[in-house]
Amino acid sequence: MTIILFDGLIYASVLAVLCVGLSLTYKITSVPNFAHTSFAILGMYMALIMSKVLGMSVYLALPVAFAASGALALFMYYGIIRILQKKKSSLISLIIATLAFDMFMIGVLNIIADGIRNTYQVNSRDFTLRSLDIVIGGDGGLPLVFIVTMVLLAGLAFGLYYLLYRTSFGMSMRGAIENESLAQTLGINTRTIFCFAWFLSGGLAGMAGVLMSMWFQGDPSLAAIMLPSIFAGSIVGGFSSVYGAILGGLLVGISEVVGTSVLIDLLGYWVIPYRPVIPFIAMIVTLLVLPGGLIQLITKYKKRKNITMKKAEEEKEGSKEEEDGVGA
Amino acid sequence: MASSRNALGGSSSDSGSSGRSGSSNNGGGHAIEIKDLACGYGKNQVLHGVDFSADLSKITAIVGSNGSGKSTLLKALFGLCDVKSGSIQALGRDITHIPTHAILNYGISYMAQRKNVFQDLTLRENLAVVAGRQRADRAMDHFPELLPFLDRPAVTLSGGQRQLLAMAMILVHNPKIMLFDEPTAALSPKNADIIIEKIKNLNAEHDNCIVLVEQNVKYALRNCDKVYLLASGHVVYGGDPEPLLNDKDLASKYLGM
Ligand SMILES: Nc1ncnc2c1ncn2[C@@H]1O[C@H](COP(=O)(O)OP(=O)(O)OP(=O)(O)O)[C@@H](O)[C@H]1O
Ligand SMILES: [Mg+2]
Repeated sequence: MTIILFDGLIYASVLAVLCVGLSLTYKITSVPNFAHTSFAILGMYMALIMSKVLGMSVYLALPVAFAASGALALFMYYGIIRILQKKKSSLISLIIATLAFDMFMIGVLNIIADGIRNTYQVNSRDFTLRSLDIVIGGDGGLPLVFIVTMVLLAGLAFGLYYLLYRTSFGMSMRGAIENESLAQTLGINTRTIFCFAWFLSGGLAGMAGVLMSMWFQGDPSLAAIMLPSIFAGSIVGGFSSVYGAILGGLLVGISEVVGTSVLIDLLGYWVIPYRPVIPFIAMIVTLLVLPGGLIQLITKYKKRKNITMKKAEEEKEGSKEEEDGVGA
Repeated sequence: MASSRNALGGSSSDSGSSGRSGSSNNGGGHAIEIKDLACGYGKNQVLHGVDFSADLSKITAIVGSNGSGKSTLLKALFGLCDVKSGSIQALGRDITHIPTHAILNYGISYMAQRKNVFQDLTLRENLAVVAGRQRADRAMDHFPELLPFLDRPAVTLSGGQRQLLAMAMILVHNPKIMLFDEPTAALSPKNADIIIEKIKNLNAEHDNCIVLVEQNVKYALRNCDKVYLLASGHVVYGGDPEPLLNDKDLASKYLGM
């Protein structure tokens, strides 16, 4: 029972962190990044290299993975997405570009995996670093990775709130996301902001990968296996809100783990390979019932309130107001 | 973040000096000087061979029918459209190819025709974006009308209030040159008067160079020192307002008077 609890909470939190990054880059670039999970797999291999190859504490891999995956995401944005967007590429070509980058990264990660095995004789496929972790209170106690994962997720939720709503950099970030050219005319270097956001979401994914490999397994194939889950989590959350993404990621993650274990009890072990059906169902149900995701429930209410306030203001001064068009 | 804030913070203190050095630099030259400008959006060229100048402590109006290229001219100054040829100088410095976000540092600011505030941000946050959190409240000194709404999202403002907020935002850095694109569009006459009064006060108090795009020609001509008339991307008149009003030909052809 406790194992399912740890499984569910760690997996769900890791998923939530990944969904936050995916939603953040989607909000900024309007491109769903199909290579987002490969940032996490890079983090897994950073964990393997730090611990098994270099013999250091696996927790040291957290900052290293943050930097490495962040740099990779930055390269992807600055070297590929931004250039295509400057050339006014269509959304389809941008999506295909992220898919292509994903395939490229899977190749690279496989090379890394084989390189580690051949050079250092370390198992580099379906590896787990769980045995390296510290368990507080001895066998059956509290694994440190569980605490670190919870702290990371809570820190992320609070940190993002602080960044976006309490610092002028975060406010500029929200402004730049809403209206890039207005932000620029007001002196905000939107390129720096977007690069920062891509770096951050890549780096977070890298850390999520480290934590993943410390409880579950690490393997290049996870890039494809986890993709439906992080898209499902982001879609359930609304795909453009970081808080929606946390909620959606947690929900999808927990239903995957708990749902599968319930189904195993009911139907037998043969259901395990069908686990990805759960995120797909979550995705489909959300798109059918609540296309704007969970966050829509909140924004709907807020919007209604804003419209009433605006109407009141205008009635007071009797001005006629045009609806805003597009343009700077 | 620190660097961008420094760049912003620095600009407010040295925009005064850049203005001063600028006016002495160009020794009687213009605050804005555009020469033979051709620009547009991608393949669609909008402005053709436009010459334009505007001076400190003057209000320069740009008039013309819808689609004549008034907004495009202001956007060209701010690097928001593609310049094909020609040059743009501000306070004696060439800004033709300066990236948009850096233009503020040359002592110019620009209030767009539409979407000129961040809708999802509160008033306070809108100001914090341009002024930093500490100075946000001080930016409201000239706009007591807006004080009751500081913590409301800008989307809840009325049209007039929103234009005032947009003005407050571009005034934060004490720009020497201010570009206003139809600041009174879609406002009631009362609100339009408030906005125009603010602009005239700015001009009188600070020797600013103000460029005003106005749909309402009579309004514009009454309030400006110099006027440009644009038609399909060409300047068809540039100079004092009176002759334009008296020129029956131009007035009837382009201004519908
Ligand atoms: N972002 C854009 N992309 C392509 N073409 C544009 C863009 N903005 C404007 N144009 C074109 O440039 C021309 C001039 O537009 P501009 O906005 O400068 O006119 P304007 O004089 O400001 O008109 P209005 O009085 O309606 O504001 C128009 O023909 C318009 O179709
Ligand atoms: Mg216009």
